[in-house]
Amino acid sequence: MTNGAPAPPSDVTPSSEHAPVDAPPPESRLLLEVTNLRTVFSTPRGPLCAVDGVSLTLNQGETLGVVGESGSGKTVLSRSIMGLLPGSNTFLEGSVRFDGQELVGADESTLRSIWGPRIAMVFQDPMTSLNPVHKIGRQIAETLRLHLKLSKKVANQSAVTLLTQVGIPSPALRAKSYPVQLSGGMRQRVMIAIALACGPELLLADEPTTGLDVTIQAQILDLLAELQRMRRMAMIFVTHDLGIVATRTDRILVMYAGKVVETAPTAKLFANVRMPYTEALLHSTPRLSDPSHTRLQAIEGRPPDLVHPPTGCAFSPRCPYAADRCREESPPLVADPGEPDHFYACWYPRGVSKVQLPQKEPSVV
Amino acid sequence: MRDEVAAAYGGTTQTAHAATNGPGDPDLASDIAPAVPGPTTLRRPKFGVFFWICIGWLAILAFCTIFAGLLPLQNPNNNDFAAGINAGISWHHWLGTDQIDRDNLSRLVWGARTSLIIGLLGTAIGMGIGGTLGMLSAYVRGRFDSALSFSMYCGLAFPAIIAVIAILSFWGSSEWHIILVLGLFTVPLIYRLVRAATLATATKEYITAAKSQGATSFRVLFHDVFPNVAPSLIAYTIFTLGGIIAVEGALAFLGLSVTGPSWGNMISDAGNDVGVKLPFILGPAIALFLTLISLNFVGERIRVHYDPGEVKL
Repeated sequence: MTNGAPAPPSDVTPSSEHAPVDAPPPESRLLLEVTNLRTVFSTPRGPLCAVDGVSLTLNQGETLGVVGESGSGKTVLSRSIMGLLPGSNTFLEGSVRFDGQELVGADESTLRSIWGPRIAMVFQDPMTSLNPVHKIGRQIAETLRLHLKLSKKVANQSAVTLLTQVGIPSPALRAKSYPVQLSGGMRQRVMIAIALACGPELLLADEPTTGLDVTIQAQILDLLAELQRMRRMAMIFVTHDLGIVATRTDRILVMYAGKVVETAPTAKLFANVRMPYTEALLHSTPRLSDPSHTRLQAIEGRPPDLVHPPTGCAFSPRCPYAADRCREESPPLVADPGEPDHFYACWYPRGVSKVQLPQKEPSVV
Repeated sequence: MRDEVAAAYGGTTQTAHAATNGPGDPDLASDIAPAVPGPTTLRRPKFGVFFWICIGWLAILAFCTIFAGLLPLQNPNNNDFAAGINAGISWHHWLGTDQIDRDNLSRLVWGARTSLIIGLLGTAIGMGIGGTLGMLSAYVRGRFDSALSFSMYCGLAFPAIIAVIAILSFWGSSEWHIILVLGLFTVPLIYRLVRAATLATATKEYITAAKSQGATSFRVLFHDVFPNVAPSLIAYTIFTLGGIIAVEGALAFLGLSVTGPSWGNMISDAGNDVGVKLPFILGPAIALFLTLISLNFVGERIRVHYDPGEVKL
């Protein structure tokens, strides 16, 4: 850009009159800041801490992958961020600041005004997350009419436009279909259309492709990425599949037993896995480069009982490298000495510590 | 090849392709079978002929109920002394007369009115109170639900027919008393059904999804939960209607129903000496039987027809 040129277009000017002078440029505006979030369910067996002191930040337009196996608290985390949990036996502590607004403890009507137009969620199972008794066009239009106060006619037209955007063929006809008339992939597209209807700034995608077969998975992921890029939307992508988040996220957060065990920018995480659990997750993912009939290395054992979590590191009972200290003291989340934006919770991180066990050779069946 | 298929199906496949210019997925067609062009039509289970026969009978009843006063019938309480008691079938009295010279046909038609009005209003009370409480109870949960469920189960544990007899003997059996008492005794039945159906619906993911789009509880309850509960509620309500009509007949047989003509009264009156008047019992008895079987059948077919689970592609 040459000196004296007219003010550059839109990407610098817009928010400058509202924002302080030294505010970050709009590309990296802080959108979501979660600090020490704890979600406790009171169960008949005692309190169950499903999310235990999770902190994260997310900028506008950024994608965060939340990875962990079943029961690691990733779904509860996404619902806690939204505040979408059954009230009577759930306790939320910590802070969720969305665009400067505190969501923990906010009253219902504040949350409702945010749900939809500002934060939206795509659910895991497209087969059960659409209401079977309403036509899909109406389900999309209702959201529009509720939040944007559109007239019925305009809302219906917008619904068809949205169906076109998510790649549904003959959208005007499909808008008159019931969910039962659509395939799983189609329904997930409809779910995405509903979530995106009011143009949210943050999309929480809770395993959006788990219920779909692999070819459709790729389509839905591409669709989400495309729409996210077009709308400059931030996204939290919850999944158990490291392969899915590897190429589609800016940052990855690995969860185990409700805690963050490792978080780093995606490339750095895959380059230098520190936490044995992340490593184990990676080894349990099939790779094209492996010879055929390679046995996957499953992670032995089961996730811990969160009502009675083990002392020390929660992963220690299943960790091949666990030492005495792991079983006694819970490791804090610390920054990697070499990479200040790479954090892990491990006493003996991989690639740094001296404790090395011989790597198991992949056995060929 | 694909164009031929498209042409064979009216060219909708082409529109499908035209619409896919969006988010860069040329393989979208694999999402739908290429030979299925537009949305498939819903095939709900058919009602069948018998359903329409039943509807026909209920329509006749409704007609009699509404227009009983306008039909060229004799006064159901008028004593035609000229015809004599227990007269046989004649041109003047198509179904004969009863033991105090009243026209049986007229009483049958007016009896339909009594039965249906008691049935409908009683059901409306049961459905209004039981349905609303059931939905609220299952949706709100917590202590409200526990307390309400407990009191409803207490109500269910009551031997209803004996309670009804006791209350009506004490209170006097006017039409409104019967409607109120029978209606209130159906509340726990409908409450239980609606609560169960609402519980099953309220835990579905699409309810969470509706909330996540910022819908208020009221909206979720009536816009998202209710339509899913409605088919079973309507079907059960129709059964309840039949039940109340039957109970009213039983009360009349015991002499605890209205003083005017009702089917139960007629059966009760004629039942005093069945030997002589068997044909006259058959009139109201058949009418009652047809009404109950029609209501049950119609209720069942409606439930099956509108149950989302029964829809086949």
